[in-house]
Amino acid sequence: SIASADMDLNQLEAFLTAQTKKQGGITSDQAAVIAKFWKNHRVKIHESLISQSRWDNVLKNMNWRVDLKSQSRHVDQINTPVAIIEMELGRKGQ
Amino acid sequence: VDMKWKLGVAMSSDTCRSLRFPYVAVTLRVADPSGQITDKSFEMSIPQFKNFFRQFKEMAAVLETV
Repeated sequence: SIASADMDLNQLEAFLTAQTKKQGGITSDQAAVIAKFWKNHRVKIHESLISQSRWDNVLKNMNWRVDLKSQSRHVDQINTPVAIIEMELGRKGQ
Repeated sequence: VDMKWKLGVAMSSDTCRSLRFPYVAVTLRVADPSGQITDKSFEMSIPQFKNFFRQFKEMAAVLETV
């Protein structure tokens, strides 16, 4: 619940306090441990959840080069700088 | 041949109720040497997009000086 809602510290405190008051809920020591864990790992956990929700192609790598066309059949292309870009696209993990 | 972009925010998903993840989605329309057109789409997180943007800025600077 904490991870799914990406709770901030206020929400976390309110949530954990409510849990300690429930019958069969957690103790305040357990609440403190959970709070510390969440504070330390929140960003990484959130990033991991985000990455589970991304399934389109991502840009894995990009290389580029600038060439100068010095000679060509068509005179108006002489001395034209050209950027050539190679992009590697793929699903994450592929 | 063409480039389209959009800035989106993924709000929620089956794995996480509160994603709030901004991203840039790009579609490139490319023509291969035979003239065949294909669309290539991909997404970038904001840090990835900043890197993408920086590469293009570098390229533009080099193109100016060549």
